[in-house]
Amino acid sequence: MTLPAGLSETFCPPLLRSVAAQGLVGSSLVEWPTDPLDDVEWQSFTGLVSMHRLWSLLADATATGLFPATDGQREEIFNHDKEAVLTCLYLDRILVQTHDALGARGIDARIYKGVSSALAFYPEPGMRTYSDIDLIVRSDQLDDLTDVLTKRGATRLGPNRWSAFQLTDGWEIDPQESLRDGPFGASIPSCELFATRPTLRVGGADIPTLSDAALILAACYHAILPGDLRRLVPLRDVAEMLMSDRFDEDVVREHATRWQSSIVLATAVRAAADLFQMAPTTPLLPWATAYVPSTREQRWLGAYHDPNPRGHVLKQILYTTLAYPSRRDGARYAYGQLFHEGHGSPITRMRRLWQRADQPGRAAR
Amino acid sequence: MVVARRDVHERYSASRLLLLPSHGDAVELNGPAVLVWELLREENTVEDLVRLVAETYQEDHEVVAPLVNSTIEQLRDHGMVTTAA
Repeated sequence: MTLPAGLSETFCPPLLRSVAAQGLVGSSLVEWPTDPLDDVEWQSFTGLVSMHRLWSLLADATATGLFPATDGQREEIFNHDKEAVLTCLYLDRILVQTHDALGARGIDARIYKGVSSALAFYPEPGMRTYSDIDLIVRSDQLDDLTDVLTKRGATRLGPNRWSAFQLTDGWEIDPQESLRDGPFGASIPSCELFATRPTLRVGGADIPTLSDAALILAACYHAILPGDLRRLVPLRDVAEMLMSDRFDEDVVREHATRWQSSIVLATAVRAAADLFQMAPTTPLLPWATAYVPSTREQRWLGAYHDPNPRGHVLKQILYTTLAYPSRRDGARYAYGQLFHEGHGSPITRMRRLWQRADQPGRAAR
Repeated sequence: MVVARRDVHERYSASRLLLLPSHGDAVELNGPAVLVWELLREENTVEDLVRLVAETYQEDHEVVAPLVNSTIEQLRDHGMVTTAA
């Protein structure tokens, strides 16, 4: 089996993949040890479980007797699981409070990724833990959102106007304009993200989110496009969504076509099905297997994975500028990249971008 | 009648239930206490709760009643239940 980009045998050994597949309907991936891991194996294994945030799935495998553990290991697993789930509950409480504050200012913010994936697609939300609050916000409401959050004591974590905020108690809120940076995010018309207003029930409150199709594509972007090495949970999200009653193959494909991201959808579906050993009849898998991407799609996807960091940044800026549905938005983006973020002449700005390209994880936004 | 407040955040985790009220600290419920919470989401009297928990666990009412009452008290202390008419 070929592991998806961003995963390696070192960071994603078979046992960890079994943990990530725990309880997944349609997965035939079952590879559990017969005896508890020894101390050295346990040390290395738990480091990876923490890194991939899989404690709750491991707790489920332990509680159901699939994963053999010593008493000490069981205690450690259940303590970590409790901590992870409590984090989600505290984040949910903050989300409801923040939603009330944003609503009072007329700000239309939509939850997506972590909490939305857990509540909309997982049979048991406790299986999907998360560690921050991700929001989609209209660009023209970002200043209002910033004002609301800073008045509540939040501080912006970076110089970018779309940087995440840290609240006084340490939790983070990450506002974004689109589902992803770069050309795939730019090609999504903002009005389409806000065209409908579905809600999810969080602590007795109806919190607005995105359409199911947008949530599914957000999971695909997260699983396939580089961000960090923690791909297992986003890929599990994709697999869970494929098996969900809410999944509508035609609607998702139609969105992907319109948002020029069919290559991302097909790649994510293939990767999730391959990783979790799902049946060939899994929804969308026959289409994904046969899908032939356009040259432009391949160029866009290649730009995200360009091993040359300078090539990565410059291609991202070029393709993103061209990807905006309106030329005006593309020009505004290019202007922001070249002039607005920071100071100095265009040449100084280009030099800064060039230098920034050497810093991993700082893709053009 | 005692009922669960709707603004309580809840999540199942392995074999336990974690609850967090809109203000205050979290509570962890296990075993029969989880069933008590689930029954409190519907309109049940305390007598109903005792009877249903006793039936589920095949125990005498006298054995179950203190457990149900102490669970309700704990939840009340954390502001997770309210008294309904």
